[in-house]
Amino acid sequence: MPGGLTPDEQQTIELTGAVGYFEAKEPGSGKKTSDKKGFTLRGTRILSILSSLRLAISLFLILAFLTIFGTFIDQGREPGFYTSTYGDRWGGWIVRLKVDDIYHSWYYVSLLSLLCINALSCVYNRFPITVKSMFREKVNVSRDFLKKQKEYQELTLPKDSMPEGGAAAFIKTVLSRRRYRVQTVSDGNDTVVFGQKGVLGRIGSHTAHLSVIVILGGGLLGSLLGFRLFGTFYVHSTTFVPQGNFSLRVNKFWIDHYPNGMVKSYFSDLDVLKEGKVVRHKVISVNHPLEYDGLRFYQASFGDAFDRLKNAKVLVVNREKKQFLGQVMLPWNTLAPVPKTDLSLKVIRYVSDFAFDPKTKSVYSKSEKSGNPAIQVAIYQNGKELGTPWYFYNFPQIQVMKSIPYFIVFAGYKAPMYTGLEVAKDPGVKVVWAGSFLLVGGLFLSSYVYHRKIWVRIREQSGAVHLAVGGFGHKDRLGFEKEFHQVVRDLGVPRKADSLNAEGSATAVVAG
Amino acid sequence: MSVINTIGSSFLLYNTVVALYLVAGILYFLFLISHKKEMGQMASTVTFSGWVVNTAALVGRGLADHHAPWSNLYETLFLFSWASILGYMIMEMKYKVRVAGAFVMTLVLFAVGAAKLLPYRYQMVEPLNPALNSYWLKIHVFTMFMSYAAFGISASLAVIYLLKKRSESRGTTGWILKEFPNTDSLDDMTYKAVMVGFPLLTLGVIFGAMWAYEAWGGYWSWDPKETWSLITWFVYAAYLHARMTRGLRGAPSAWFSIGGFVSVVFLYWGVSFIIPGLHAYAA
Ligand code: HEM
Repeated sequence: MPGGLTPDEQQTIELTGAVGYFEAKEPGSGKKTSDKKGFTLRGTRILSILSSLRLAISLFLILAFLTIFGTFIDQGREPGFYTSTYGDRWGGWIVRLKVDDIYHSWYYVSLLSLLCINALSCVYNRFPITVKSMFREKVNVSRDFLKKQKEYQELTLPKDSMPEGGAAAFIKTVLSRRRYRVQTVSDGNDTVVFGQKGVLGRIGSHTAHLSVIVILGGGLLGSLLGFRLFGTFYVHSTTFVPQGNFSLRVNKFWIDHYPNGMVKSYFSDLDVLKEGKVVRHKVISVNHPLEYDGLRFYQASFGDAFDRLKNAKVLVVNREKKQFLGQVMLPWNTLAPVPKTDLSLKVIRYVSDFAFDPKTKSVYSKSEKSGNPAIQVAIYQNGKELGTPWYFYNFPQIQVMKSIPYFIVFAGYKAPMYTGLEVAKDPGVKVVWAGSFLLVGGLFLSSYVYHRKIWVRIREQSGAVHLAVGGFGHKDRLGFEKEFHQVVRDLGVPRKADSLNAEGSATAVVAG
Repeated sequence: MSVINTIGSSFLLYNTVVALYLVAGILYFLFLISHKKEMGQMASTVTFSGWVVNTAALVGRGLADHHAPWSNLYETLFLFSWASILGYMIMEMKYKVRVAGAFVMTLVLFAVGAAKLLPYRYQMVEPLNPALNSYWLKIHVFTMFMSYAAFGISASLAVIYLLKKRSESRGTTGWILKEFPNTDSLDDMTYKAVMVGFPLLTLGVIFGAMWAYEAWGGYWSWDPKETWSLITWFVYAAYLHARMTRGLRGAPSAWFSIGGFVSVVFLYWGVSFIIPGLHAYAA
């Protein structure tokens, strides 16, 4: 174990691979790792807590635990829902502890923020050392230093077994063959050969840490500046979209079916109009939205209109004799005479699910479903309006207007289809994708590229070559152990190195 | 083309896969008991043939339906088996640990067995509902299952680790456990499998977000499936960070990996079957 290092420093070495970093440090020379004057966070207690792995692990687990609640308890319902579902006591607690909208609760958001701070201070704390370990690793290391490494081996070879070019060149070829990038320095009588590879794997975790902050930042941006709205649109309608200061016109709507009748997809043919001119045209469908000026229009749904009709079929019956007089197909909002009578009718309103609000004395549709379809008909006799009663598809017996000698029966209808469009704006989404891209890049780097270092200190003495071989492998301990021993084997049999290399990978010799 | 269609939409290939994996599983166990190398080689060969048929079954379905062959529960279970066996075969080649086959194969047999037990209507080739018809969704599901497979392998190795450790602490090597690599290697391999799975899980969740963005206009909406993928992600993030600095090793690490896989199973099955049930019960 390296002497004179604090546990924190040891951990840093292990995490950053900067094995030579603290080597020059005198034992017990205090905690300062930086000589900079003035205010600096480095080495302070608060930073070491904020950047600690223990905090990170705790945050991950606490967040995982809290997140579970939101998947079992419905989110974002009105308080009454919780008391009626879970009882007064538990329902009350759910609302009080904000479990009804846990992902936006102050404590959940704080924990996420703390995770960001945690990751950021971790990068702040360790990134400089990581960079040092990547580019300015100590090459001229002492024998004692090598002895302290996890992998260490000494070899003595007869000098005349060395191929031409000497020991250093030979070691260089051995390491290069395993894709190590090699540097050599001489130090008095000794020569040190240093090889490393997989250096890029080092920045993987830092990239991952920063990108998580980027992603959450993008999410925050979207939730502050973005919105999602839903609207129903009819063919041939033009609707002004205030958020984008343009109009949207629906030219066409249609549905594609599979041979078995299931819906395959549905389409809206849209124009974006600005000052009367078409500035964009696109046929959108499920999964293929239209984007214009930062706003996106999604094909979200379709359905029968709940507030208008294409036409309505109406039967006219003599009130007294209960005798069928005639029927008529009434186009929407158009006056039409009923054959063989002196009546003309006009459908002026339609609701798919009739409801009456006594406060405002107005009729409205309770839902978008055809729960209780009703039409309001304007009745004219010889050009004179008699009244505007409501008629119900499901309740033909309800005839509110007693003053006319006819029953009027609402017998059928055809509603136009609406296309349901979701309108969304999210200025943060590009940031989120950029962060995601970085995150994945960082994760793959850190999971598949391992940093490995091997030093060989050579001393030639009275016809023999003494090698001290030490190595440090980040993360993939067993893999590195294996490779280290293969390198040692290759070094130990210089002449046969070529043939050995092929079979060397099959068996790991445990030595040392 | 019509032959391919007929075979693709029939269950012939799927049933062959199940049969081959079953035989391979038995062979792996026989290998464990007999310590005969030939038995192990046979097990590997049968596994490989099963995997080839598994590939053919997926491709056949894809051609017959004109969509990616992982669009319902039945098909995804065979995607899971496909990915697990692929991962396992790579591991077998790299680490020469044929013996873990018995455990990975057991897991896979649970998966394909569950697929076979599904009601018939869940097994059928069905046209896709419009929102599911998206290439983002296809690569999303595929990537997710690659990660599930890696986590499944990790959990299998963790189980072996725990068994081996227990028998070691009793001072026996165990007749069956003798063939396994030493506990250190098992521990390391458990971790490696998670290291493979974690980036894939992350990538899969991101593809899912991209699909949601194309289909619904929001990349994240806290629906239970999404949310469970986040929970799983937190668990494995905790695992990876705890592994660092050699803090988490051995048995706790193995249990952690198993716990992570429980979360994966819940993400895959539990969310579909338990959470809607809960809501239905509440309503
Ligand atoms: C917020 C999400 C985070 C993600 C996705 C993440 C991801 C990762 C990954 C993938 C690794 C490499 C894992 C391995 O080698 O096995 C890593 C390493 C590390 N993480 Fe995180 N991490 C996160 C948060 C944090 C936080 C909050 C801290 C604060 C202490 C932290 C500290 C570390 C350290 C010290 C390392 C080792 C450095 C290295 O390997 O070079 N991480 N992280």
